[in-house]
Amino acid sequence: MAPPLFLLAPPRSYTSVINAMIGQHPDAFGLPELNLFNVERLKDFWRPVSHEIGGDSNRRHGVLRTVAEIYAGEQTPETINMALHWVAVREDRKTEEVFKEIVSRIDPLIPVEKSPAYTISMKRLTRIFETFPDARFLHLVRHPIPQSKSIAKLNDGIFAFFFNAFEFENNRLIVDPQIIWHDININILNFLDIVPKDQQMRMRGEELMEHPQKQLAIVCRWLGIRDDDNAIEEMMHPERSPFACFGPINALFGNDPNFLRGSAFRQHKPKIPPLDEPLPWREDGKGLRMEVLGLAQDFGYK
Amino acid sequence: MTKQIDKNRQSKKLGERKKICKIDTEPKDLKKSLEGLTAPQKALREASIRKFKVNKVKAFIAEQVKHININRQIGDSIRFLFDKDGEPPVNLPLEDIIAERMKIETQIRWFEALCSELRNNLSKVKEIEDLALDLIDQYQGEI
Repeated sequence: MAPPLFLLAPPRSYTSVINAMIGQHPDAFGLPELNLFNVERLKDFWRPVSHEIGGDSNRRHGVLRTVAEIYAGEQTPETINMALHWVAVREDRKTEEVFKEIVSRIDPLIPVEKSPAYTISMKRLTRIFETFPDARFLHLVRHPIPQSKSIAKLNDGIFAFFFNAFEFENNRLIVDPQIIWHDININILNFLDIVPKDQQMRMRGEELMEHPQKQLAIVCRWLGIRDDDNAIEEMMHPERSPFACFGPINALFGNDPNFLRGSAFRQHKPKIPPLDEPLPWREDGKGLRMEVLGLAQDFGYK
Repeated sequence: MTKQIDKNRQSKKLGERKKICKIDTEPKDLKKSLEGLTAPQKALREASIRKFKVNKVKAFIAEQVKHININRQIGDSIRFLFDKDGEPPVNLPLEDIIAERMKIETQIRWFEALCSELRNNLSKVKEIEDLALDLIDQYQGEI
């Protein structure tokens, strides 16, 4: 079985589009967000995530859409119902076994997956590596300011509340998404310390947005798959993925809704703000924290 | 050779770089560990989450009200297809008729999908209800 590729990054770091792009390579298969390593057993998907913020049933949609697509060849309300039965008979199975079963169906293609929720927990990340010791990990980074702005905008900033990205100052609470950017990247770096160097790669998302052909070819060579013009041309069309649109009414998501709304790739040069500018989400005019600044510089941002 | 690789892997340790979040976000269970916070900080956090949830509910209700208005507008929007006698006007452009037909077809498909989803949910709820009633019967029988 081809070792899978996992994209590791905080949410809103171009993971959806890049996952779909790499997944469009003729030797790869781009999966939606399976979230399987978030839970021990499949039935745990039906347990609430957070008593405080509320459950998130959308996290199951990726698995349901994948099963429908792989086993039935299409995603319709009927095949999603079939996928629900598929899940029901496996509800007591460990999720790593389920992941292996799914990817065995697409062998010899390289499974490509990204579920940002894996990166909030070292336990989840190490379970991936224990299940797939030969897996490859692509650490995607994005400039902390646009990434944090994007987090604050997505779904009323819900991720900041899930992650407790709070700063306390003078009897005030400030929701500060740069904490997410920092701590998730720290989690990824701490995890990658146990992964052999040849199984990991770091890439700035902005570079791929600006020079997609060049960067995708680098990824292909690292994965040991062809990087000819035809393969790269296929990768330039993430919208051709069966998961790059909304699913049927009973499993609509499985990815970032913004990506599902419009998944075509648009080559562009992202605007990179200076690291020392005041943060737009902070009323006190403060800039990035020292820890964030240092890490961003380590990643090559100026 | 493979054993050697495994041994090398085991000897590697997870990094110990420090995080900046005051709350342990490693989800060992569903509850977050709030030990790092003082009592006022905990209260601030709780109030902030409550405010966030209230805003979400407000936005949801606003969205529902918009849908209700849209449903009313559907009736109004097709009125132009008919005159006071219920007949289509003589000079109605064919494009408008086709566009209206397509719009109505889409709306029908949407409602059918919703009905199908509601029927599915209903059958599941009925199953649970039957099971619960069976259990009550059994329990009362034992008493």
